[in-house]
Amino acid sequence: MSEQSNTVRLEIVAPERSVMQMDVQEAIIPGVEGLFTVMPGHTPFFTMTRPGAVVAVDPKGEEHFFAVAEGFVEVLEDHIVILPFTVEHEEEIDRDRAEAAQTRAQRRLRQREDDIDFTRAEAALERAYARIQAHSRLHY
Amino acid sequence: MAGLQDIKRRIRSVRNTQKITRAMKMVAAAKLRRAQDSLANVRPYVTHIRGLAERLAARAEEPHPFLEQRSKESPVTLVVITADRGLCGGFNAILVNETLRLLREQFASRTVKLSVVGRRGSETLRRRGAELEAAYSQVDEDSPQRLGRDIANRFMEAYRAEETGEVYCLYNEFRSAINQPLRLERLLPMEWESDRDDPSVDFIYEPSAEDMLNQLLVSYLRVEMNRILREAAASEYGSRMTAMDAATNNAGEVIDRLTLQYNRARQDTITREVIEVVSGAEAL
Repeated sequence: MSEQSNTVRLEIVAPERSVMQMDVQEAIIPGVEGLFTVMPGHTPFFTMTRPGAVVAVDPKGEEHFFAVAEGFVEVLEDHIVILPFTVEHEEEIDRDRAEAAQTRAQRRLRQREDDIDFTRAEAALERAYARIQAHSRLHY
Repeated sequence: MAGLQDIKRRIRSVRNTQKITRAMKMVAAAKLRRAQDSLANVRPYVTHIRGLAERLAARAEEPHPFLEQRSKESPVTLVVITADRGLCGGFNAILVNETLRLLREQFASRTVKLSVVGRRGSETLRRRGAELEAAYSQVDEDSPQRLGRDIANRFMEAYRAEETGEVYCLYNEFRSAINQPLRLERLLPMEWESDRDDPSVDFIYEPSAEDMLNQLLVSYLRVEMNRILREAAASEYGSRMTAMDAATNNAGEVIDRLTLQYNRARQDTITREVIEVVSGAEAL
């Protein structure tokens, strides 16, 4: 195997915005089957994401937070591609809106009137949590 | 010869029309810019999802039904993307003619389930005797997501239930404001060159590869439909912008011609009056 570099290229591509690219030492990604960390030289790996925060650690050791929605992840040896349906950088997150969405979803969940609303409210709640988490720079 | 007043009135009326076409051109240009931006964002996402799905499909143990050929006698679903509004040059007419041609030629021997997006296209096709299974209008122009999703869900369901054997989409691919070639794309079954190689790399899948492939293919079709709607929207605005630009220029030419006519007529009147005065003076 060739010499391992100490960074991997991270790409986040979502339909509503331009591609984000950066080199990272490690990335923490919320997978459907749990949070996982990718470092250079990771085994090739396919999975899906759930709403949550992606933490990208750049070569200087600084952490960058992204709120992502459901999507797909492909991890290759020197390359990570995350394809979420939506993504926001921590600085773009509208905290007030996320909190309002959270309270609204919680209220709907307490009322539990019909099932369709229930699943939608649950998803909305997860996305609101993801935004708040990324905005607060929390790992989980 | 038309009277001075008549010519003046015509000039005024053409000038008003020109104001309208110029405004429409401007609106179309602004919308086109937005549509182009959103298209530029969705294209790489589609490419990535597709690449991922292709690589996963090539390694799948059991072929997914979305990738398997079906009998050529089975019914076909044809989705045509037209505009809700006119005044965009030949945009809708070309789509309608091509649809009718497909029904007459390529799909002549098969049952065709026709779905049309856009009021213009669905109205014209109905009037010209085509039977539509579904007609959509792009009322929320800014959210092609929901529409794309609905359409994709519907044809995937029909395909799974074996009510349809192939799904095609006819739309304009946006290249530039003046170049939007028609494309007939087969969405189902997917046409992929599945190079079944590279089994050496051991991949880990969470959840299973089959689940992932299924989810990927479903997501791919939804987002692909979304992309197609955006391609069509950008093409429509481009087409309208070009058409309205031409209309504004034509109106300018008409105004120039009428102004010339008006000046000539005015000159004639003056000349005639001068002659009258002169000959009147001579008579004295």
